[in-house]
Amino acid sequence: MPAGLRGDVDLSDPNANVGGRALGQFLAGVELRAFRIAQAALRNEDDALDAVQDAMMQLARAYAHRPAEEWRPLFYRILENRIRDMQRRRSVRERVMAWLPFRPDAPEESDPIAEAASEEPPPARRLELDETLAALERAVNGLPRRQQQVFLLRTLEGLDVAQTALAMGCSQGSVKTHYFRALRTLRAQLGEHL
Amino acid sequence: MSPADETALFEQRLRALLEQSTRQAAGHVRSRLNQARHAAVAHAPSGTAPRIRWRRRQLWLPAAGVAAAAAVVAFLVWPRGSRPAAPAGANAVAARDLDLLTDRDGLTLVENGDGEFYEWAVYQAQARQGAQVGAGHAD
Repeated sequence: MPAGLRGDVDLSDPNANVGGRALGQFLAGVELRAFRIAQAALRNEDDALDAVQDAMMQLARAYAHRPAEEWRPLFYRILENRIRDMQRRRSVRERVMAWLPFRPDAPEESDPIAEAASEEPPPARRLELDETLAALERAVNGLPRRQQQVFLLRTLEGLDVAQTALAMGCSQGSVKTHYFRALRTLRAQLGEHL
Repeated sequence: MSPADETALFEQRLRALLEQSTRQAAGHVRSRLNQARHAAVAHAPSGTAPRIRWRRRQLWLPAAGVAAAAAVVAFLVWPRGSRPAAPAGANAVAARDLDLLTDRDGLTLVENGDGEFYEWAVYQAQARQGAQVGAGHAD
């Protein structure tokens, strides 16, 4: 896998940590996976984008001067905190809204053109892959949140146990336990697809 | 295949699928992430090295301040001794002028009109001195 896709920075470059170039390189490498992780936790695209943007901003403001090898666990720690805040706020909002007699956020009308199926049928392989990805997404979304985050940080982001523990703010033993349980659940649910 | 190998293979497949689903992110998501990244980089402080240099410079600031204060004090105290002194002769002339102006006897001589006597006395003294020089040469 190319270094850029993993979010790694060439630390042999003496100018890598100066200015925003190295930081931009790092963020470009992690942003899609960070969005994927936030989306799995928040189940909302806009919220996930907001969480990633906030995490980027916080990393840049407060930790840009730190060594580049520390950025990844720090970034995911910030993202994890942001996700937790947003979930807590959402929980409070839902509880308050449940007491109100009306719902101000009426669902937007759907766009029939955007939702219309493509005229060209996807190839069989494409369909099979889409089904597998959808099943994986359902299974990951169904995991308890801590298991889900540990699983995605370890599998998708490639953090080791120590880095995951730092990002999650828990012990390495908890990381191992969450990861083991997540794998066991996913195997039980996705056995027929994988 | 051992259970450990099966687990490793399962993890590998999961990773490949997750990366594939991540790469399929919609264009508008990529666009918003791109904008967010540029905004974050724009808000980042201007690099590590200058900040460290500035901190080092800050450490020297108190010492530099003390040195500057010492230099100012030295300039204010030292110059009186180091300024070029007025020539000794000038001071002597000034003192002599002051003595002449305050010398009442000298003024009395001028006022009494004895100038001719003093001219004669000077002439006699010079003539005597010239005669002694001439006798010396003749010897």
